[in-house]
Amino acid sequence: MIRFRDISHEYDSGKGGRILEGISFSIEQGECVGLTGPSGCGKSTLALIGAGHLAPSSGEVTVNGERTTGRPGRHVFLIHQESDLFPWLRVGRQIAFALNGTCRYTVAELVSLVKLTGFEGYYPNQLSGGMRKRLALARALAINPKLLILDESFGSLDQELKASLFRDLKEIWALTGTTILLITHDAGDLENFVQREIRLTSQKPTRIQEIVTLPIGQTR
Amino acid sequence: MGVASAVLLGIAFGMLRSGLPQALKGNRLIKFLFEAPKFPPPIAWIPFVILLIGVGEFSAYTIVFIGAFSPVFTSAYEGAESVPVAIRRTARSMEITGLSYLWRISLPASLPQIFTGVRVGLSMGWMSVIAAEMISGQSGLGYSIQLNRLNMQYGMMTVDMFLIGLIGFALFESAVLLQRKLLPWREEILT
Ligand SMILES: Nc1ncnc2c1ncn2[C@@H]1O[C@H](COP(=O)(O)OP(=O)(O)OP(=O)(O)O)[C@@H](O)[C@H]1O
Ligand SMILES: [Mg+2]
Repeated sequence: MIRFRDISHEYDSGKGGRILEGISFSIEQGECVGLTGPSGCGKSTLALIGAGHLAPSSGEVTVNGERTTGRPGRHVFLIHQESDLFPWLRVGRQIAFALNGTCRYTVAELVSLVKLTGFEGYYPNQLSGGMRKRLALARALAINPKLLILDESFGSLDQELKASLFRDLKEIWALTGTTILLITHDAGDLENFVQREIRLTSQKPTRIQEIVTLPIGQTR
Repeated sequence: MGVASAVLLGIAFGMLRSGLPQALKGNRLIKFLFEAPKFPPPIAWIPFVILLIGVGEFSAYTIVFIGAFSPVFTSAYEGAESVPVAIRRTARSMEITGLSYLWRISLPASLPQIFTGVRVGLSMGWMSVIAAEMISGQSGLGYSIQLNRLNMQYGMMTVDMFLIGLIGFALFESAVLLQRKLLPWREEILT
């Protein structure tokens, strides 16, 4: 179980004041949870805190009871909103690079899971936008994190491609049982997918507005 | 030889410098020690080198090294410092730290910039050789220019200049070719 406990944050550089306040929720193993909120409300900030890349002003993150606040590692893996692929590694090497002992899949299996078979020798810049997202997903699965955070992963793509990537993600989730926190500003993305949706408020500082349990999505 | 060792050492020192803890990197004195030696032009070092180790093979290498080292060093350091933050963080999540981080992330990520430094370093190295030959050479194009100057052979001097340009250009182009071969993942087009 991953817990966010009473997270508050303000960037020390900014005069923007407090961004997040008193954010608490937890995610059970194997769950797929959505996190929504308007642009600029602090979703990416919360994602960075979750993955240990940013230490919150107060509050803590725990993974199975262990405090991981401000400590990046394989426990929580974040696929960034901007590209974070290593441009110098081809598809196959990119995935192999991330693979560790705890992952039960081989590189070839991961490649086929994200439908990139045949493209093992391509560099990221030789792939289409959608394929790059798939590669990032395969690489994240190779890490086998306790929690995988996807920050607007498919945000920049057109509707049709986005829908097909969400279908694939759902399939992969059902198959692998990866625990996922799916961040988006468009709640519509979560329909028929997540079991719970955490809605953030729009007024500053951002708090949790409500956590809704969605009836659908238990299609595992 | 001079260039090769300048490239290797330049990259190594550039990487290690970027691996220093933040507190040391920000330190003025340390910055001064790294930055100040770049300012005397390679030519200014030549008399020193000749005084210290005399004229010969080894001093020629040393002079080339001095010319080529600092562009490579600077570009390696700056390349390593400008790795995008999302890539840094991803590497941290993969628990890649310390020397392994420098070798597996910083180095490949900064190769494009390093190559720019190598191209500049090659030119600087080549210019330094000519300058050294002009000052104290017994042979070579730089020496030939001096000789022709004394004999007022302007035609021959022009030929020398042309050859210097031609060889410099060939060195530069071979670096570009090497870069194309080694960095197929770069989007930038090198012509
Ligand atoms: N490094 C930083 N320093 C100071 N302020 C920052 C920094 N990063 C983000 N902010 C501020 O924090 C707020 C939340 O930013 P964040 O990127 O977390 O929003 P978001 O919800 O992810 O937005 P979007 O949906 O557009 O991606 C913004 O007001 C932003 O200006
Ligand atoms: Mg964001």
